[in-house]
Amino acid sequence: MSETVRSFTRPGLPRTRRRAGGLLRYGVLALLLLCLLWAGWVTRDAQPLHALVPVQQDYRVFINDFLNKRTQIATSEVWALAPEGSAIAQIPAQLSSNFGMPEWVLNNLIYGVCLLSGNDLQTFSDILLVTRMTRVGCLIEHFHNFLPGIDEDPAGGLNLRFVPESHVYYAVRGRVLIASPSRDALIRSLTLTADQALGEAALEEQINAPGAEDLNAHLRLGADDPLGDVFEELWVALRLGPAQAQLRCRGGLQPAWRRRFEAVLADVTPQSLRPAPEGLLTLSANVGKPLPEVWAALNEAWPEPWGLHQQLFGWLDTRQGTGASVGTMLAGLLAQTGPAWALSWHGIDTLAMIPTPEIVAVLQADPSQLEQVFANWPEPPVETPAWESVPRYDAARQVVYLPMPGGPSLEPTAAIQGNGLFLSSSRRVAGELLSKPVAGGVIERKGNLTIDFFPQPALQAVVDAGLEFAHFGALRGYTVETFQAAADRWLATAQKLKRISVFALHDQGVLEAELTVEMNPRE
Amino acid sequence: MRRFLLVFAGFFLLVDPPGAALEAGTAKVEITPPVGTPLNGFGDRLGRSSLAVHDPLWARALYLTDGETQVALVNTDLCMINRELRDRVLELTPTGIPRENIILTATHTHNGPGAMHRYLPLRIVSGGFNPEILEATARSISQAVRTALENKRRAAIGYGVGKQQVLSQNRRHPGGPIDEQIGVLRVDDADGNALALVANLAAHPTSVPDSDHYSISADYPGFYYDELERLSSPGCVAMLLNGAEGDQTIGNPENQEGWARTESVGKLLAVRVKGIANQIACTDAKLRVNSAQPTLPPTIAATFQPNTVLLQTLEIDDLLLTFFPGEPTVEIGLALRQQALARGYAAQFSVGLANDYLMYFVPQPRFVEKTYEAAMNYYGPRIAEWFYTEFGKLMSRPGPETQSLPAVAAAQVEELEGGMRITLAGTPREIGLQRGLAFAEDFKARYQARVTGALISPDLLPEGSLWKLWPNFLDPAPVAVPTLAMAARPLLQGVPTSLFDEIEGMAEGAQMPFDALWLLQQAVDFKQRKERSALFDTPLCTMFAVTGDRAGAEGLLLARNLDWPEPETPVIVEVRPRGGHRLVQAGFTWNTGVYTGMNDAGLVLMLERAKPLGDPSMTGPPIELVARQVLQETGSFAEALAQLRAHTHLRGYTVLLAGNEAGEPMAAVLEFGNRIVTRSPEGNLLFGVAPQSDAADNAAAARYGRLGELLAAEQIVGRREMEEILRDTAGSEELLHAIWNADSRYSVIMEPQKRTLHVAFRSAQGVSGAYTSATLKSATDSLTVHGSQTQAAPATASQAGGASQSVPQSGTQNGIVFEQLDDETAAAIRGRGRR
Repeated sequence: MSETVRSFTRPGLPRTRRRAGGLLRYGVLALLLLCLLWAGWVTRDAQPLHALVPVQQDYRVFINDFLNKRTQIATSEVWALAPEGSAIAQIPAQLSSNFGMPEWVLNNLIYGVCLLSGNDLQTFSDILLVTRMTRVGCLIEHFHNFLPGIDEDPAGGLNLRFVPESHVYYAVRGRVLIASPSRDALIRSLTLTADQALGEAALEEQINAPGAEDLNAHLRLGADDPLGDVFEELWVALRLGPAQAQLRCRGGLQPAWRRRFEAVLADVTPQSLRPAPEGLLTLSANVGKPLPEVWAALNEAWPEPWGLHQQLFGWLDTRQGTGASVGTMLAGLLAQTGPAWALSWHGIDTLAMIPTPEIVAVLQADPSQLEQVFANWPEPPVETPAWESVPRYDAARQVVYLPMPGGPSLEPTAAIQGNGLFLSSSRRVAGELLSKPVAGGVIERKGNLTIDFFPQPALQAVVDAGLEFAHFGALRGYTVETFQAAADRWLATAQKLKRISVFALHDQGVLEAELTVEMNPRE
Repeated sequence: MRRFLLVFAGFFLLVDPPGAALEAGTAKVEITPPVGTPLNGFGDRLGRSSLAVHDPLWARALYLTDGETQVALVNTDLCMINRELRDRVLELTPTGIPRENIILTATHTHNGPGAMHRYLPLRIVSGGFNPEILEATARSISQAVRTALENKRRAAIGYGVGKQQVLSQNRRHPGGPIDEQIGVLRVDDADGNALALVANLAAHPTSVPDSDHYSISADYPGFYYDELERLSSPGCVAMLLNGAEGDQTIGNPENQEGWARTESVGKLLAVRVKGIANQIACTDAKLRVNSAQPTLPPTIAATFQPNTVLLQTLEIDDLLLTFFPGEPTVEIGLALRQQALARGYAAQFSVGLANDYLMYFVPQPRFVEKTYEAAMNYYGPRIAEWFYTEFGKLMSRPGPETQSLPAVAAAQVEELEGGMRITLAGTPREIGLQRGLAFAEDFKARYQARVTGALISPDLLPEGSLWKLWPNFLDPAPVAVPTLAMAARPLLQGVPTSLFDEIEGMAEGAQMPFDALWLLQQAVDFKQRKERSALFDTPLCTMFAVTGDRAGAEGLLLARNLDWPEPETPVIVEVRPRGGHRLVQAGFTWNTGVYTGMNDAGLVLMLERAKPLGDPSMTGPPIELVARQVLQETGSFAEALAQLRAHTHLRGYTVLLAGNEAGEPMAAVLEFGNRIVTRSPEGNLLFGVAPQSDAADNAAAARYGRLGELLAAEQIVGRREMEEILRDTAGSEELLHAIWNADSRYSVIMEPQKRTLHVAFRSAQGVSGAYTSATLKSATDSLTVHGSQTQAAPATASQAGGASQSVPQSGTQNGIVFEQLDDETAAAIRGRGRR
């Protein structure tokens, strides 16, 4: 028998130590690996978000990448419009506050799309929040047992959690967090069948809707809901930029309203819009029908309380055929107009006999036909004094005007401008604008209505007019000093706003509108 | 022309001044505005554009210096010189000439440019404001002054006056006064050639025919300039200073029409001026310009009229020119001339429309007329006297010593429970002043509440009028109050001078416009006519008299409760006029008239509104002023009855009159409806309104029905029974069916034989308080002290206009003896009175 000598010298000790340390390390690594595997497993994105959003909800609001954009939203100039001390004015501060959580926690709890939906548009009692968490957020939630103020609610195996302090139920499926103040709403969401859920395609469509970068909502309205008597459903998208807020709406009219406005909206499709004359408030419209036709249809659909239509057209009817009358003037001119027209509030003439708003309009018309009308303008009877309010053609200036008390500032004037009929409430303003080059062409985007409002100069015009009355002690409730002080405050607010624009169109029974608020940069 | 009579010409200026020789320069610069500029002067144009130029307009300047004094006299073919224009001209004019020595005048052509008024109200007449027109006009005027200064040369000056009777006429009163004087200034160069001829005539340039209503024209001055310059040496500048032309217009000496008439007057004036000028010899002269910026009397139109104004006079040796900032009527010009001549001036020219435009100025007698000039007189009835005084201060020649009116202190005001007491004595003005000083703050508060606050509220503006189009964000008061004041002025006709003066004194004491005080007096009746609100619903009930045996030993007793919805503090006012009867009345701080009063002859008058008898009349003095007048003027029942019946314009009231006739107590009620009905006592009882009559509305029928029930139970009615009846609250207090109701402010019982009046004011608890008695002594009686006054508190400074003091706690106050029931008796009566 041979004897085998085994040496247990130096190489062995370290090896022994190595083996022991390695085991620990491997153990830890393994444990970590297991933890990671477990974490990966429990935080896997196993549940599609769209499967938890009911398709039948009356409203759905998508907020894209809320946390990453909240700083941008909070610093938007638009918030400066909120009344000081109001709840809305607090929103930027709240957005920046992390809602009492460390930022990293918050950043992990809400990630990407955040979806709000429900059926109660009055009190929002069943509002449902669906969002996706990060893995970290999901993991943090997994340890909710270590967090105070969260109760378990098994709910027949649905494993809900309840936060009594804020009376919110929530559940986690995969990385999706679903929360609601309504337990029923939450349970319904967790038990949706495939055909009851929104579906992937619908979700993607709504998330990627144009203009929906920040917020996108779909509302199906009932008769009792706000605007529910007008619209069947509304799509709303909001985008908040550093100096701009843009709200896009698309709405399907209720059948009753469709019937009511049928004469106005029938066959209305987006049209070319002509630029409005410069002004503090401008409006350009084209519904494919001449203005008198639209006016009559509107009056039929929506009889206004003052009987303006009846007064104006009734008066026109009685005045037509009497030669050089205002009725003849208006009827003759309006008969030549096409569907596109634009209107501007140019300002207030504070130096007029009585401070008077200045209104300017341009209506699409065939210049050659207008020339015919102007050339054949009836002369007033010889015995008519030159100052009497009978419309007259000024051949030198090629305008028709109506002499009025107060002089040119209050004298309606008509002229041919480019391919349009130019109308002005003031002969002075007409002279001023007609001497400038005609703004030709059309607005690039097709639609039916566009409105631009410039709050600061508009308010300044109103203030200047008010001061005229205040100097005379005739502004009710104000002296010059108190009015000036109040006006300074209003102007300071208006100074923040650069422009408010509305763009609207109608196509195949759906109304679309876009409201844009542009702010002036802070000084 | 034959009718012209030259009465004075060729004043030789004999004084050889020690300073430098006289120098003068002239210039004229065209100021015709562009066609389209609105014209000024006629409201019916409403700012419409002008359509043509008939003849050009000019600014004509005469610069004068005697080495010490420089003066620039500018004559413009404008309707007026408004402040904006004057300020801009002064900014543009070289500083070498003292600003107060630049005199800007307008001919008042109604076909000159408007568009130069910055502020709203005058734009209605002058059209929208056009800064370019203002600037261009101011620059041209300034250029005329500058050129005249540059053109200065050795000159001589003289003046003369002529007479005319056909170039002007009184437009308001056919055959009324005119200023027959034509004043002429002649300025010659060293060679004896006329540099300037300046005429002064009082006549409105409003003769442009209707066909050229919207044409630019200088009116008759345009023809005058052309003709006079044609008649004169080359280079002569013709000028025209319009005079005291408020109610003067041009005549028609050649019986022409249209432009022919305008031309005729202009040319005849030129010929006349040339004729006068030919007789004037020119020499050196001493110049003197005096100016001041005095504070104007308060105006009802403070929102568009200033409170100070520049006044100027120019003296050329012994000729005085006075420059009015508006349009004085001819009587003011003539009176001022008399005052100037009395001071030793050889002649005086009044020049209107100079430097500013405060509209019209009429003398006090014209103030009450329903005329355009009176309506546009915004500075009260004494504006003429104000001008006489202020121009008098500017005249360098001394006038007669004028005694300043004695200082008047505020009357003493004593507070009583629920009311006040005040005694007023002296001339009507002094009485008014005492009252105004004592109650100034209250007057202002009442004026705000009743006139600007209430009468002008939108729901009271006349239906169907343009006022209804007034936008809600605008306050109509700045326009409506002056308009209302104009409407109220004619109601002053028939108001005795003494009461007019008293109201003036009240206005002066309270530092308020006369029109405001007058509107305050009228507010009740104005409101009554509208019949739209209970604010001024003044049933003034309930009043009755007991006569004969039923009045016991007194033979006549009267009582009333005064209902007044406004929570005003009533005042017992004793008036001791310098002439006429003393009287005591229970009224309010501001009302000059009488609702409840008695005079020292025992004559009693009480008023009650009776709606079924119609709306109060707006064609003469209100009934309370008539009552005041009667009490002050007569002690006889029969005479008072006759006086009241003579006021056939009164409507809507009943008046309870009582007094003595041949030693017998008498009482009657006059019902002022479509006709005047007089009722006598029945069964020794006389009610202010007979409950079953057509004069009684539901509330009056209920009150007087109840009164009848209460009196039927009393065979003898004494003071105690009356007090009890007046405290009766049976019936609805809110509907005013109760004798003492929600609106009752005081109870009064009168014992005419004793000249005693007992008053109980509404207490803080809303019931009739303790009675205070006042006995009115005749004027010849010495003042005796007896009785006592309790619960008196010193008047506060605000209540007493800052000038009152409390009166002694007991005694006789200026002839009224006060006594008061002891508290126990009062409480007992009060207890019985409450049901």
